[in-house]
Amino acid sequence: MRRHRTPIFHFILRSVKNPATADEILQDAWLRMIQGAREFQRASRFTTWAYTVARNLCIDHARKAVHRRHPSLDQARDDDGATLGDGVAANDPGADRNAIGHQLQRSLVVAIESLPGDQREVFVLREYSNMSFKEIADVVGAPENTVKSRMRYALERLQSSLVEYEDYARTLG
Amino acid sequence: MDCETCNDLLLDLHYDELDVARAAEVRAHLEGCNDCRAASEGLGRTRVLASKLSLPDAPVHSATVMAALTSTSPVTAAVSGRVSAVIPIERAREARSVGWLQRVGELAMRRQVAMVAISLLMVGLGLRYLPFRSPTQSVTTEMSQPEVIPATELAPTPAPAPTPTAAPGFANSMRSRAPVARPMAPAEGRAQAQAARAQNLDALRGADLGSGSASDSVGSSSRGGRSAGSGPSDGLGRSSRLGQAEAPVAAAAAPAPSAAAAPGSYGGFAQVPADEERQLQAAMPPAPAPAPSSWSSARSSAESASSRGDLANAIANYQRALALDPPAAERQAIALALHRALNSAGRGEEANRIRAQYLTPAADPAALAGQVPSSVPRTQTGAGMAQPSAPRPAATRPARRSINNVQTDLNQSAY
Repeated sequence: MRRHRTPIFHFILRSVKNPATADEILQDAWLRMIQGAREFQRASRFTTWAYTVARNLCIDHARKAVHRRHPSLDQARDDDGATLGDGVAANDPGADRNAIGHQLQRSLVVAIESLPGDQREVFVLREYSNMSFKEIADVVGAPENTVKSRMRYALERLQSSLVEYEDYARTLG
Repeated sequence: MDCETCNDLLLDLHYDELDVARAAEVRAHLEGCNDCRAASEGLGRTRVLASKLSLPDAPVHSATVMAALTSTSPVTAAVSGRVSAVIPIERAREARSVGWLQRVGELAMRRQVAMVAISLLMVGLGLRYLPFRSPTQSVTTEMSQPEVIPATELAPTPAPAPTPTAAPGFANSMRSRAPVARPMAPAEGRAQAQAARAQNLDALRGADLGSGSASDSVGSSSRGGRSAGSGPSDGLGRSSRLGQAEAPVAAAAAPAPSAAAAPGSYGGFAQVPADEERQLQAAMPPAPAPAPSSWSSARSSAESASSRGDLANAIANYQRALALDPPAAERQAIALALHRALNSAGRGEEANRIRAQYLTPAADPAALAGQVPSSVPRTQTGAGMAQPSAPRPAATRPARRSINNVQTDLNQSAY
């Protein structure tokens, strides 16, 4: 659980876009997994099962919050212009030391959250949870080729969104 | 590799999901294709930027989650050998205890095992329901021998009070069950067999002669081969048909039936269970009046009937007397009397048959002595007796004087 805690939380956070809500959903997901341990089939991977539970909770939350408005991560909380996304990456020491890096963090969050939901979840699972395309296909219930297409579209969107950081990326790469 | 294929495989290349050979092909194509290389570099830069996103630390477990974890005493078990899962201790123990059961269950559910089990079951059922055969009793013997028990043999003594309203269907079904009996004493002598046949014939004759429609039965049988008609004699008629069709065959096949000597053994046939015996007796038609058991008494009865003018009764008694194997001289006299009675009754065709069978010089009394028991019982009416026996060569034996005398007398009476 400790091993999957951070990636799952990040997956939930990128889905619900609110750290507090993501925390609630994560705790609920743990409870579901503990209570549903008897139903867990050894034929499937625990990773796939855990992300499926978390994804279903995110979908339920999104359905309940259709008529509610939540502040976006890039929405300014106050007059200083700080956003929720700033808080998310606050623990990264490099974000404080490097202004470009700090700005990149914000831009990345905005770009990822601006992705369509099906592309976003595929991108997060592939890029940050290090799941294979086949496992992602099992989690989202779509064919593997569809997952790859969504991933390709997500990368192209991010590339166009982060075009201002291409030179920076070349220095890093 | 073309650009389209390379473009499709770029993702797999960047995320290391291509095998070595395929990845080498894609890299070789990228070396010579600027467009594809530019696309690949763009994906690479985006991935580099995305990797710079710092993942937030997940919050610690809430009190509720911790309570759930401690209450279920979770243990960490390897799942798929790579990740760990939270599985309660109870479930782990249960999984260990039922593991061998699951393996046995999976083995039993395989298709091959199911087919073998079904085959063994079918073989077992076949062995279970096959009838037991003794070494001395072969299948061919059972199939070739007519295992028919006459209705009269199944009831060796006249039933004291049979049910007159016994359903004919039930009676037929019981008759159909009669052939299950098996011969059990094949070593008995031929004399006993003939005596038993004679007793069977007595019963069969009695079944017809004892009924009120005896003359009708004899007449109709001689004319059309049909048995007695309807009404009260219907049951007797059915019994007569049964005896006509089955009794001689069964008697000839069974070497030593001794009906009277062995009560309960049914004349040498295997013993029928008591309840089945009661059912058979109940299904039998009412027993006829006891008939004379010797040829002399039959002859005297025929003569008395003839003196009363009862030609039908006289003819029947004469036929029965002939069937009871009288001495040769007496057979001629009885045959002559029968011939006269048939002529008097206007049944010239049957009279001619009697004449040809018993009263011609070619009819050897010695040969007839051996033919009568086997040929006569084939009918209890006049139909079977009217059938001429096989022609015998006249030169084999000289004609006897008594036959010549009878022939002369016969010619005088007939013409």
